[in-house]
Parts: sequence; structure tokens; C-alpha cells
Amino acid sequence: MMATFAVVTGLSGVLQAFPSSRLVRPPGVFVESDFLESCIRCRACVNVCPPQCLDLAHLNAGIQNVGTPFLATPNKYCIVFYGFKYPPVSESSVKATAKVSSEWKAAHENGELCVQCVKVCPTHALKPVELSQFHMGTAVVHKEHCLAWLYGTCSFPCIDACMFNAISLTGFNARDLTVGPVVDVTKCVGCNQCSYVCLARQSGPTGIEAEPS
Amino acid sequence: MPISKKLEVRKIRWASQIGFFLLFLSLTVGAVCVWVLGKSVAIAEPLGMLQLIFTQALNPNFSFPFITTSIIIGLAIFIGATILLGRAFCAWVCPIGTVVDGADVAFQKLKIKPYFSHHPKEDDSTGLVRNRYNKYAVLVFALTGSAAFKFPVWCVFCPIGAICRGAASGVELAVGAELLTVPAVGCMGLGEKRFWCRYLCPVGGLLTIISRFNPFIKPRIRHDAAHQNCGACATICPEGINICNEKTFARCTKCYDCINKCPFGIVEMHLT
Repeated sequence: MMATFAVVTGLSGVLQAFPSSRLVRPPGVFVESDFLESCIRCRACVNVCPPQCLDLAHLNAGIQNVGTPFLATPNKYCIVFYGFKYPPVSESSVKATAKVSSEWKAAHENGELCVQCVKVCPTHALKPVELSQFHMGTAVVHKEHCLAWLYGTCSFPCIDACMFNAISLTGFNARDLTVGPVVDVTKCVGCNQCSYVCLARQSGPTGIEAEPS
Repeated sequence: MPISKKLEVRKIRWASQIGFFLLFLSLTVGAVCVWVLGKSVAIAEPLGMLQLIFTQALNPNFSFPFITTSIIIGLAIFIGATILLGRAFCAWVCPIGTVVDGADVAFQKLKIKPYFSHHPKEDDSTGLVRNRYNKYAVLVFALTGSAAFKFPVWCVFCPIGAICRGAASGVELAVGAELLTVPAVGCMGLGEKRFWCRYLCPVGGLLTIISRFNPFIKPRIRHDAAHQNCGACATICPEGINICNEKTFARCTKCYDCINKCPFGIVEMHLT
């Protein structure tokens, strides 16, 4: 019993040594601590995800987060609606790829949510969600990488890609007298599709990325 | 019905172990803790579920949303199989058991002798590490830790989970620092055969508690044989059981090593 006490005390030290970082969680996580309490780290959600956008956290994300699922930003995206998928994106066809999303959304007015991760979760760590509750994180524009904010030259694929019309062209760069994208946090669900088609990401660091909120 | 002939159980066991290893590594959804088959059927391992219960222990308005029909059925399958077959999971299914056995065979082939020479008559070693009751200490650590820190603590260290999670998305092996537990557990074989399973594994500890209710499949000395009490079986057995002295056989993993390797060939398996 003394050894157990020592190990538990030691673990609290290890917890201090590896501070836990917030991650973009799959849908159905309403309270982070509730999720950590009931997630059994079984990778079922990662295996079942159709676009394989989830990954399991390692020790560098904090000892509490080892083995928990997170959205692998900025290169992977959540499809949100069942049956949707982007074609592989190349630098020349970014704009055309981004339009696939809005065209698909127009064709499927009230599409069925994918939420395969929620359906497979055996311990209800991911709780059942409606479209109004669907929330993973919030997209954040990195103004130091976004081409529109940096150079004022971009075809804005992120605006075409957003299924929820959360990105608008209302930011004003007073230095260069250009416009840049701005995220509406009330509409954004953090699916990271904007980052997937981001023109800056095709050749370097991404200009927009889903982050935990 | 006694089985005393030298069956080639060892080869069947290797096939079973490697098959389950590949199954857990790539083919199925979920780790051993909750192994999801199809849409709703699951096989749930009791330690993970116990930890989830203990994470709610200090919560004043606790709730157990994970206790669903499929989880209860999964637990019943696992516990029922343990009562019927004892700790057969450890020797026939467990992926870390496969790794430990493979490491032991590798050490044998490299002619590296395990450090502790085993004295069968002093079966219950009182050393700090080499005490088989340490399994229960780790079990208590996992449960108290879960209650204190409000997340399933053992899942972070669990080498079984590390193997099952290692092949995330089924194809590439996700390498993280926590995957180091697997080679570490394999290297414990330098100390003694199946060191991890024998002294430290909390899943094995929990299964030992459950398999105290197991009345079937127990190795016995053939009753017409001269009573040897040589202790050879305790050296052979991966759990260090001396068949002549053992009473409950709760620790027995049904690996059939004693039957195959007894120098006098007088050990037989009583299925009932």
C-alpha cells in the first residue's frame, strides 16, 4: 500500500512534467473532463472514421491525453456529413476542389451526419449529437501564413469549402489596403476543411487551422 | 478425462497467439479493453470498466453512461470465459503475452540465461519486485489513481493497449514514447521467464481473482506415479506453480507447458 501511495504521488509529479495540451476532439465531447473520465483509449473511433481524420495522442500531448482521439490538423479534415469526400487536392486545382464542398451541400440539403466515431464509441465518451450541437473546435486564421493577409493575393478556397458559411471576407488589412478571411465563431464547427484546401498549406504552413475552443 | 499424452499443444498455442496478435494489431476495431465486433456487440475486459467506475468514485453526482447493454454483455462474455477457462486469456490470446513469450524464446536462442535462478521450494518469494502479490498492488494503483486523477490511469501505461493502439488506422504503426513499454516488458524476460505476467500485470491479477471460481482444466500429478515433488514443474511453469503444493490453480494460464516439459512425464490435465 505504501508502494501504491508512492506511485500515485510519483504520477502526480509526472503529470506536472508532461502538461496536458488541449486537442481538437471528435464530435460529441461537450465537457473535456467528462470525456477524459470515460474514454477507454481503445482507438475504435480512429479505426472507423471514413476519411481517417482522427489520430491518437501521444505522450507529448500530456500524460492524460495518451491514447485519446484528436483531429489531426492541419492535414486531415472531418467530412461532417455522411458520404461526402474531397478529391485529392493539388496546387493547380485548389479552387475547383474547394467548390466540391458547396456543391455537395447544395445537392444534399439536410444531409445525414456522419458521426461514425460517436456510433462506435463503446463507453459513451463521445455522446450522441445533433447538427446544432456538432462542435469540434474553432478555425483560427494564422495571419502570418495566410496569403490574403500576407500578400493580398488569394482565391479564397476556404470560403468556398466552408459548409456552414462561417468564413467571410470582412477582414481589412489596413497596412496593404487588402481584405482577408475572418471566421465567425458562432457558425464554425472546427471540421478543418478550410485548412485542407488552404492555398498556403499546399506549399508550406497553413493559413487557417482548427484549434480547440 | 485426463490428458497425459504429449500433445503438440505448444504449436497450437503459438498459432493462437500469433493469430490473435495480428487480429488485435490490424484487423479489428478497438483494443482488448473493449473489442467492438460489428455494430453493437463488444467484448469488454473488466479492468478497463473497473477503472471507468473508479474515475467517478470522488464525483459527488456520479453517473455511469458507459454501462450499456453491449458493455454488460461484453463483460459477461469475458468473465464467463474466465470462469470456464481460467486465465487462458494470458497464455492464448493476450498480445503482450505473445511479445513476452517471443522475447523469452529469443533470449533462449541467444543463450542468455534469466538473471534470477529460480528456487522452486521457495515459491513465494518475499523480494520487493519478485513478489507475485505485486500484481494486486499495481491493480490498486490503477484504481486509486483513476479515482484521484479522474482518468483511467492504467490505460496510459498498459502495454496491451499500447500494442493494440500502435497500429492506428490499421496500416501505419503510430510510434510514440508510450510504445516503449512494449520492449521494456519484453526485456523483463532477462530477469525471469514471463516476469511481467508473473509479478506485475494488473490484468493478470484481476483475472487471477476471477479464475479462483474456475473449477475446470487443472494440471495434476498422475495418481499412480511415484510422488516426486522435485519442483521441476515450478521451474517450467511461466507462473512458477509447483503442482504438488498448489491448491487453487487460480494462477494457472492453461499453457500446457508442464505436461509437455515434465522430465518424468507424469503431469496430466484434468479437464473437469
